[in-house]
Amino acid sequence: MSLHNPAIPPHNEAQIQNDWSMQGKIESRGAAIWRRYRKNKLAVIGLIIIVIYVILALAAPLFSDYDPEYFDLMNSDMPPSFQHPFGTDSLGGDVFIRSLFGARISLSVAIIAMLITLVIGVAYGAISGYFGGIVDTIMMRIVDALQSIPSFFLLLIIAASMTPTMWSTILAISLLGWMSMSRIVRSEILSLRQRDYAAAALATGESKPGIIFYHILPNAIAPIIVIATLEVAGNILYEATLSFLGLGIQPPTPSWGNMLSSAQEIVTLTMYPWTAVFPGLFIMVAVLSVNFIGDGLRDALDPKMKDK
Amino acid sequence: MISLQPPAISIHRGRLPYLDRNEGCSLFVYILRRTWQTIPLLFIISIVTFALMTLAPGDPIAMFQNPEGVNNADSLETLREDLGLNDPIYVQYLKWLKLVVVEGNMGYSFADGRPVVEMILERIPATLILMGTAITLSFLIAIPIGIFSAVRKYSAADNLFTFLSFLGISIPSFFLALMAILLFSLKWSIFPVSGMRGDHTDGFNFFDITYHLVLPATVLAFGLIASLSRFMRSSMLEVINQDFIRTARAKGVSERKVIMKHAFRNALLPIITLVGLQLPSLLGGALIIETIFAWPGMGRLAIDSIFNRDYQVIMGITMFGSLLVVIGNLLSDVLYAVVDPRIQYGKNG
Repeated sequence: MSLHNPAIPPHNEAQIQNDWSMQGKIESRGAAIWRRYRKNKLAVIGLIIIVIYVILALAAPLFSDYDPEYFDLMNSDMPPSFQHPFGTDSLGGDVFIRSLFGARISLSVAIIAMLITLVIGVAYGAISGYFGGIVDTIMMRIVDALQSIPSFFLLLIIAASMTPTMWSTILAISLLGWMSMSRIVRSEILSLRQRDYAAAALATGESKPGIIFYHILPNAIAPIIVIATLEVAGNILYEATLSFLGLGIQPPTPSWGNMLSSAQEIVTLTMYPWTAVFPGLFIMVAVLSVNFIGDGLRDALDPKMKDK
Repeated sequence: MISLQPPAISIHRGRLPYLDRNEGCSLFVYILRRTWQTIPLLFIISIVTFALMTLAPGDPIAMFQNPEGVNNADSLETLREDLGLNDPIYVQYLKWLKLVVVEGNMGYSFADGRPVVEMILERIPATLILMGTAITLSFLIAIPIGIFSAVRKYSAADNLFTFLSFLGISIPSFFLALMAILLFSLKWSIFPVSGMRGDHTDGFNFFDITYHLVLPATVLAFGLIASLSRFMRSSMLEVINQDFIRTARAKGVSERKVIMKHAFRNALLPIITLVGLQLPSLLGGALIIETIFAWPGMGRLAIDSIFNRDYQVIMGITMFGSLLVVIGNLLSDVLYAVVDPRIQYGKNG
């Protein structure tokens, strides 16, 4: 206390005691992340919207007696009404119900594809960063080459090389996404490898793979989570685009993309715009919310990454 | 925390090694070396594309199948043999490679027997017009937005632009295109629904093409504006915090001049490289937009040939597209090395 700046009035002992006891309550890591996340209002809104989406998708059968693959041809192209809140499409399918079931398909495709991407990308990046040298050069050159193919061409070619089903769509999307993930993992490993704790682990006799998996990867988790979240947003768009072009989910199974596809004819678009507007809004709001969540997570997980 | 190192340009992480690795060479040698490096790249691309395509369950012969006749199996078999589709995949690939490298020919379309190069060359100008317009448009709009957002950081307008840019990257381009057609073409009849030329114009008519270009180019530019303006904003913020800006302010340079002259020029540099990085996704976007607006570029050709399993055309388009991307990246790297004296392609550092 002798070094106390005279300009600041000294605290009394009780006050200091109190301050210290406050400090003693160490905020858990999860709580700190949640506190920072909460500050980003858009991220909170995005999270709420996605939770609503998931609930709607899971509870879709409860909302209506209409089957998503039941087509009431007598009531086709009906404008939005009390019975059919989003109207009906040209085959008499209920747009609202089909959108809800579409959420099931679209969200699960996006999330499963992200998980596959995560596994491939982390493994590839870790191997590349771990071996270094010529292995790294060759592995990264391959990624360079694949990334030079305009990604959409690659997506189309992969999707076209399989009979379109839900799983072929997932595979096509995940074969596209792992490259950027592996790049991030690799660069994180290369930079974290230089840290003192990695050297310390090496000095204690830990094996190199052990260091990568127990010390380095856990520290690289923040950027990986952020990229994975943003990838879900991208995957929803990819799935929608593939299905729109007829290479993804095939009707009558509803997906937001193929619902728009059947609404793209000029006549349908002019006369029955709701068949295009509502599925499109579903896609847009979902992607927007996931992007907000990713942005919020970036700020919350690693404050240093802000504004990059 | 005073760093003696020159400021690292974070956006370029992972791309500068190309520059660093070339010790002691002139710009010309650097360009040569980079060009040389693209050859193995194109080689790998061609192998991957070919492998994926031939794995496809479909059969290019299927479209020649006589719908009612079962008895043309023999002639189909002859056709297969003629087109070399019975060879093992690696033989097919080597034949293709020989054709490209030795004769500079990319084969013939299975569908109508025309040379692939000819088909692509007649489609490329339309795609380039569309992409060029979209890039120019997005620069003209995104750069001022980025500067404004950086200068008025966290103001209401900046927050609005942030929200809009999120919207820009979240809206599927085909949905935006359909909505644009619905409103501007079908409801208000301001712009044409599709195509590149009016019914009664032939040849090159600048105003007619521009008129047809408005909707597709704007839709294509939308996403690019969103990401470019964000990059411009963070690049400006990075520059504004640097010492030379403080010096400029300290010696009494007007704020307008500090922003427009000192900061803007330096912040623009990284953006040049970014456009190179955005090219692949822009090309993919152009492909979808072209399909919806019936724009006579490579997009429709690509989709049709994928549905028809027209291998030669798909190979050709993918190679042209990749070449476009590789050249774009090369150009932006070279341009960057030329305009930014801090990047030395000569020595390390």
